[in-house]
Amino acid sequence: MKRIMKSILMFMVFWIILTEKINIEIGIVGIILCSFVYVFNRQDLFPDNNFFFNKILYTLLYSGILLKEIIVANWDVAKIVLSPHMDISPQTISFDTKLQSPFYRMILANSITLTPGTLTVDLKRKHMIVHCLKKEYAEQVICSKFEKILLKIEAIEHDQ
Amino acid sequence: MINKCLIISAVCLSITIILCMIRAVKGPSNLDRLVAINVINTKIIVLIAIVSFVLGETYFIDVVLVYALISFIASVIIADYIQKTGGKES
Amino acid sequence: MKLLFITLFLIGGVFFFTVGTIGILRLPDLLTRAHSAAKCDTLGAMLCLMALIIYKGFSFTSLKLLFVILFIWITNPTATHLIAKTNLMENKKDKKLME
Repeated sequence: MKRIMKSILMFMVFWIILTEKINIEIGIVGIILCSFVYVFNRQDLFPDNNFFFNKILYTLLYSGILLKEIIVANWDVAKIVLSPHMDISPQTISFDTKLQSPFYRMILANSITLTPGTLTVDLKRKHMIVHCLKKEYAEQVICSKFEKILLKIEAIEHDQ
Repeated sequence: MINKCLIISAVCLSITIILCMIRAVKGPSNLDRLVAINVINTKIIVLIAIVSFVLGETYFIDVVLVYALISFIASVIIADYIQKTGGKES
Repeated sequence: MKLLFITLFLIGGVFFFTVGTIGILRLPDLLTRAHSAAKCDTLGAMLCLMALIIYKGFSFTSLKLLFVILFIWITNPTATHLIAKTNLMENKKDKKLME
């Protein structure tokens, strides 16, 4: 019951942002549409019980670090592209992650792709293949900050 | 003043779109073209948003949301198609 | 004050878009080009849309623009990942054909 309420509330917020108004009619139509979406959407939006509501602090910390890393990496790659002789040494590396749940692995892979200079090519179970623009980035990927924070979040979840 | 800034940036974006088209036309393989088209889609998203602010019509933002959805699905389907057929012929 | 911030953000966004385009034209092979495309997707789009959000202030329109940023940041890595994976499969097929 709690899960149904949470999903429908989230869809309602999205609906109100799309319509830009708050009316009785819009509310009624929105509730009907949101329940339809919930019925026809078989997959769980939240794999664990409450991701966004419990660990909001860690989520904020993670997005801050992600933003900082993206800006630094963007600047580095821009310098490489604009320099007259591009000193790139592209190579692919493969390593294993320590993360257990597939959801966090997906977040890790997306973050690696989002920072320029590193690109996730393949992800099978624990095995990740990452393409790097320069050799220095490879060491940064293997012991990255993202994985440490995600491991912390997972440990907290395990304790509960 | 702000309007002028928006118009100048829109013109710059259009020029970069034309430059991207060079790669999209010439690219050696089909996947190169797909990468270029992906970038052009992102640029068009930003361009529509800027144009909506220049014209003062905020309903174009809905168009931006729908365009983002459609461009993502298009690139996924084209990548899948290349994976199935090889993409070398044609 | 507002004007200064908007202009700075727009210049930053257009600069990163231009650098991404130059990278796509200059870099030698597909995966390195994908790196350059990621730069357009992340900082270029974010800075330009951020300028528009500052221009509009706090309203439903800026919330929608935030949704657009979030959407771009979720979907574009997925598309790039699919392209890279397709490239890997093609290379494997080619190697098998050569043998």
